[in-house]
Parts: sequence; structure tokens; C-alpha cells
Amino acid sequence: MIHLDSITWQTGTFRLENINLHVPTGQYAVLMGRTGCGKTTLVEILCGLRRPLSGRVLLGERDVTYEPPGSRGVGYVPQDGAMFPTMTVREHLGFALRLRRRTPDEIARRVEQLADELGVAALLDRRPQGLSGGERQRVALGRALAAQPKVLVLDEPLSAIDEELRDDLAALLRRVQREHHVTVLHITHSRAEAAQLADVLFRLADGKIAEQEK
Amino acid sequence: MVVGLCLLIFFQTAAGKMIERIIPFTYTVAGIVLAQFVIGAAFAVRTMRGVFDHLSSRPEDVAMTLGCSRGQAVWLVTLPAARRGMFAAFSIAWARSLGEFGPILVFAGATRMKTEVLPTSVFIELSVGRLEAAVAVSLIMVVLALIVLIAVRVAGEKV
Repeated sequence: MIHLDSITWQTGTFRLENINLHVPTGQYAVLMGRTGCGKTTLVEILCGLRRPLSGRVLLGERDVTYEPPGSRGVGYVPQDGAMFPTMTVREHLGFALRLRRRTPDEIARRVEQLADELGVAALLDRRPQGLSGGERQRVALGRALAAQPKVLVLDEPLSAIDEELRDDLAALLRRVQREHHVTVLHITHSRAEAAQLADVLFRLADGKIAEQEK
Repeated sequence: MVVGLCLLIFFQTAAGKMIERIIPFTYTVAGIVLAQFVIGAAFAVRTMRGVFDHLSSRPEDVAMTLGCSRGQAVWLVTLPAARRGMFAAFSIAWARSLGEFGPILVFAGATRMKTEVLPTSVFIELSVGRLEAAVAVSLIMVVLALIVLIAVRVAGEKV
């Protein structure tokens, strides 16, 4: 479950006030809104990259408002993938596990499993510079899933992808959500994407969130 | 020159004198290193600032969500991404220090075979009228500059 409870945040004249968002466990939620309306800010608050002025962030039954990003159990896939330029795909997929001091065998097994599942097995020794937009997003998704998070946050993951590949990647996101039993918050401004993926749909406008019919 | 003068003045203060009791800097080889470092660091910091300004903070954010502390994210993600820029910055700073003349002359002096560096050698040779020696030392500096340029170019592509 993802629950943002009365979140308030401000920078300069931009203000989000009393934001409430509830995504039940195992649901695929899509949050829509115009560019600059604060969607990414909410994502960053959820991930722990920004601290709200007031309000609480709950994941499951746990209040994580003051927990650091790494201990929240949130997998984050930003818009451009935000790849680590000096690492290979293999190192990306094993990064979270290396930080958790898993054994090399365990890391290798998990990397192979993720690479097969996401269709990047042939790319394991490549660096991000040699990957297409779709491949980058697959790797970013695998990197986020490696440590088996309960919550997956996708910030416009399909916006930089060719139209032909978009449907494939959208289907992959749906499959991954079901197979990994994660609760997903997917940010987009595309109605087609929302219609294709959402179990629950939210719209952020004028600093308020409203749940919408699909 | 101004930097050299500033260093000279600093080492006449109480704090400077205390440091000099441990490591003597004024008119010593250590003074040459310090003067070169002060000049070089200013260039390196400027260049490195440009490098870090051009790096996106997003990968560091992602690394933190994956379990890194801020320090680990910088060490594991940001610094490796900035290595080319840092290498260029250190090379430029080193090359700049190599040709430094004024601060070394003021702060470390130009005593033959003691606090003599290539640029001060050119100055000494010229001041005693030995043009050939001055040209020879200048040529060494030109060759060194070329070697540095080639090394930076080659290594920069590999780093």
C-alpha cells in the first residue's frame, strides 16, 4: 500500500498542499497531470529524496516519512532511466544486491533471472551509451526490481520511447507488476498509457489530487 | 606574484609561524610545492566545478533509493562518472603549475640548485646574459608541454 497523508511541500511560489493519495496493495496506480504540476515532486517525496513540510508517507503499515531513501523498499525508475554511465548492464542489475552484501553467486543468479525476464540477457556486458531508449528503461526497471521492493515508482517511463516499442514496454510493466506482486505508482501525462495500464487513476491539478474513473 | 606575496605574508603571522616550525615553507622546496598547489588548485576547482555542474543528479538519487547513503552514491556513481573531467582538471592544473613563475620567485626564491624551477631558470639565465642556456631550458619546457598534451589526449580517451 502507498499512502500519502496530508502532504504539504513548497519551493518558492510553488506549493502542494494537503495532498492525499491512497494506492491499495498490489494495484497499478497511474497519476496524471500537466507538466510542472508537481508529479515528480510527489514521487521524490515518496522515494525519500525530498522531505515534506508536513504530512506522512506510509508504505504498507510503516510510516517512512523520516526514513532514508534506501531503507524504504521503493524501486524508482526515472524518466530517462538515469543510468550509471561507467557501469555495465550486469553491474546495474547487481548494484542493489552488492550494496546489501549478497554473495557473488546469489548476485549472478539474480542478474541472470532479471536479464532473462526483461529481455536484456544479450546486453549484459554493454554500457548505457550502447543501449537504445527502450533497452535503458528495461535495465532501469531491472535495477529497481533487483532488491525485491514492495513498491515501484515509475516516473514517465515510456515518454522517451518510440511508439512502436511503447506497447511492448507497457505490456512488460504490467507483467512485471503481476509477477513481482508490487504496488506501482506510474506517472504520466498520456491518457492512452493510463487507459492501458491503470487499475486506479489519479489526476493532480491545481495542487490537489482527485481519483478518477478509468 | 600576488599569490606569492600573500603566502609570504601569511607565513609571517602567528599561525603561519607555527606551521613553519613543523614544515618550513618559505624559501624551501616545500614552498615551491605549496605555491604551485595554490595556483593549480584554483584552476582545478574551476574546471571541476564545470564538470560537476554538467552531471545530472538523477543517477545519484536513484543510487540512494537502491540503498546507498549520500556518500556512497557520490563515491560509487558520481565520481566515476566525473573521472574524465577530473583527469582533465588535474592535468590542466599540473601544466599550469609547471609554468608558474611569479609566486615561486616571491615565496620560494630562485636559488641555484635549491629552489630553482624551469621558469625561474629561464629568468636566471637571461638575467646573467646566457641566452643559449635560457633557450635550452625553454625548449625543455616546450617538449614537456607537448608530452603533457599528448598524454592528456591519449589517457583522456582511455579514462
